Parts: sequence; C-alpha cells; structure tokens
Amino acid sequence: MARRRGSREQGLLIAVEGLDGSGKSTQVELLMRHLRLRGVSVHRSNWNSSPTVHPLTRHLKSLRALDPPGFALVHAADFADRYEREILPRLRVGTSVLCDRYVGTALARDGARGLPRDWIANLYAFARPADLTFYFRVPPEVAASRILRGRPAFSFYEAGLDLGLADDPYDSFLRFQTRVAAHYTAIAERQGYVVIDATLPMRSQQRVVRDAVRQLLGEDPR
Amino acid sequence: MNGKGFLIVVEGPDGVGRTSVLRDLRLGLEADGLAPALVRLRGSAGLRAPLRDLQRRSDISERALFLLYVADLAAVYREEIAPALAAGRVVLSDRYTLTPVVRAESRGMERSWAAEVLSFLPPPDLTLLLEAPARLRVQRMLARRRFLTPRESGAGATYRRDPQAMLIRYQRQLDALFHDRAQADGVVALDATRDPAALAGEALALVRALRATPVAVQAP
Repeated sequence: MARRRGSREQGLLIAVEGLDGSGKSTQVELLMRHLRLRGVSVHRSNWNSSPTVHPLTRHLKSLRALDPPGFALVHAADFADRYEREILPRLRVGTSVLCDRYVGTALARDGARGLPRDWIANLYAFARPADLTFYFRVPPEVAASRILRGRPAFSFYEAGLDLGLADDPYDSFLRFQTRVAAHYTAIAERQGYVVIDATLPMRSQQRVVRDAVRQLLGEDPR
Repeated sequence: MNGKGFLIVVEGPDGVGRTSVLRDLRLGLEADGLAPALVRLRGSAGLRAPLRDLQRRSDISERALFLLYVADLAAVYREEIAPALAAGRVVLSDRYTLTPVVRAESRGMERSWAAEVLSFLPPPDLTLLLEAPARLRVQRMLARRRFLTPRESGAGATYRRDPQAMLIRYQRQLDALFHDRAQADGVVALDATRDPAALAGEALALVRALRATPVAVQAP
C-alpha cells in the first residue's frame, strides 16, 4: 500500500464507520493528532458537512420531507460535493484525508431503509475505496445510552422514525440501529474493514488503530 | 402502465417547443373527454427555492447538484405525478428523467452512472423527444428573454471527467505565467518551498539591500 502511495504521490484515505455513539469521532481525533505530530499532512472530513448542501439537508430533515430515496440522494449530494471539492484535491497533492464516515455509512443506513444494495453502491461509484476503514462495533443499547448522555432525545431520522418501526422513539432507535449494525457487519466482512470492539477502553482501541495505520504506511510495528 | 393512469413525457432542450406541444396534447385529450394532468417540473415543495438559489452559485460540485435535482424529481413524482396516476389520469410531464441524464453527461458524469441513479423512478409509458437545431433553439430563447443564464450558456460544462486534473493543470499554468514575469526588471523570484523563516529572512535581506541603495528606489 505504501508503495502504491509513493508511486502515485497520493495521500492516504482512511475512514471510520460505526453507529452514532460508537466513539469513532474520538478515535479519529486521536489518530489525527498522532499523525500530525509525526509530520504527516492530514485533513479531516465529516459526514454530512458540505457548507453548500448541509443547510439544505437540515431544512429537509426539519420538514421530515425525506423518503428513503430522498434521504439517500441528499446525503450522496453532500458526499459528492465534499469528495470533489474537499477530499480529492487533497489526496491529489499528497495530503492524507481521514473521513468520519464514508461510503459504508450510506450502504448501512440506506440499506437499513430498504434500498437495493446495487443502487446505493452505484450512487457512490465515483468515489475511490478507502485505503483503510475501521468499523467501531458497539451494541445499539450502548450507543443509545452514550447518545442520551450528551443530548435529551434522538433525532427523527437517527431513530428511524420515518420507517414506522415503532411509535416510541427509543424502541424505534433500537430496531433501526440494530438493522444498521447488521448491514455494517456484513459490509465490514465483505470489504475487509478493521473491526474494533468499541466497548473497550479508548486507549486500547487507539492502539489497534495506530498499529493498522503504521502498517499501511509501511512502517514496522513498534 | 403506471398505476391506473398513463405517464406521457415530453422531453427536449430549451427552445424546442415543449410547451406548445404539451398544450396541444392537453387540448386534444380534453376533446377526447379525458382530464389530463399537466406536470411542469418546477420543483418540489421542499427543494424548489433552495435549488434555484444553488443554481446561481458556483461553490457546489456538479455531481452534488445533479443528485439534488434527482432528489427533487423524486419528490415531484411523489407529490404530483403518483397521485394523478393513482387517480387513473393521463399525466403529461414537461421533462422527466432524460433531461437530468443529459445535463449530467454534459458536465462530465457518465451516462450509465446517471441513468442508474435515476432508475428507482418508474419508467414513463411514452417519451416524446422533440428535436431542433441549436441555432434555431437559441434564436427562440433569445426572442423570449433578454439574457440567457450562465448555466444555459454552458457554465459548469467545462468540468470534464476529472475536475481535479483541471485544478492542477490550471495552477501549473499560473506558475508558468508568473515565472515568465520573473525575468522582468525589479522582480526577484524566491523559492517558497523552504521553511517560512528562511524565506522571510531572504525577503528581508533583499528589502534591506534595496534601502541601502536609494538610487534604485528613486528610479522612475
């Protein structure tokens, strides 16, 4: 992998995936600091954060106007905008990019909303696969309690309330996120994600992350 | 068949005469005793206004814009077309999936990719594609309006398959154009790949040297 990177003078593309509340954002932050201290030029791009598209998505979510294809399409639009204007230009000039959620998120969430896998995969076919993807696996109950520690309630779509799985937001969240987790597990298997037990202490998780990145960089393990 | 009704689509670029054909179709079907529903793709309730705003901006990727058009079309289908079809009406639609695919292709996306993105929408029962030479169409467009919009004039279509390759090519061209000026009098080229302190040090030294030779400063 490191050789390929050298020959193309491209930055590395590293992604983290997992349910909300899996702790993946913390792990990205730690990895980014680690890489910067080692002199690696690195940038972070978060899911659903295009300055142009995100306000629109937020508006449509507040109207609860998104059916599953609509939900998939606006998130793909946000991703396309960031991929072409934020991620690719950096990779081209040798800056590495850490993506807090990548194509796996769409495959898992839109798949859990019942959209065909091939259609979702095509939607993102323009994006190059990440060089390394971590999946932070956490039981939905744990994710739920971590989320509710930070804010009073689940959001409408995060709880899958658009699908009518349950009237109670908590029940709906568990049912929907259980589906998302099942899709994640299958995708992780298929695409060779590094699966990390996200109930372990933060430091143990970070150690696994750094070891895998070191290998990708073609360095010896410590 | 879409539900109980029929979906008839009139497609073609601007200035080709879709509106008159649709009007005559509607009148003809009404004369047959039918109540056709005319759908113009003016946008869905949620996306109409924001999309109009985005079209005028340049800080969005063409691919993202295409995906938002598709989201909008999906909402129009749900809000306007599907209910009319379910009621058994003939729906006459001013454009449908062909236009977004062609626009995407003109802006560097692959046709097969764009068509697959749109594949979740039910196919129409009939698509009428109107064709006329571009000169004539543009003549008609300019007869109706004083100015064309930048997008109608092709803005965004300069994006090729690989906008990033263009970025690098453009920036290299800038390097070369600037470097040409480096030969001119009073211009000193500095290697800016060094660490910022060293660069600033050299710049400062040059300024100091200049101050030490006032003749150069006073030269007209």
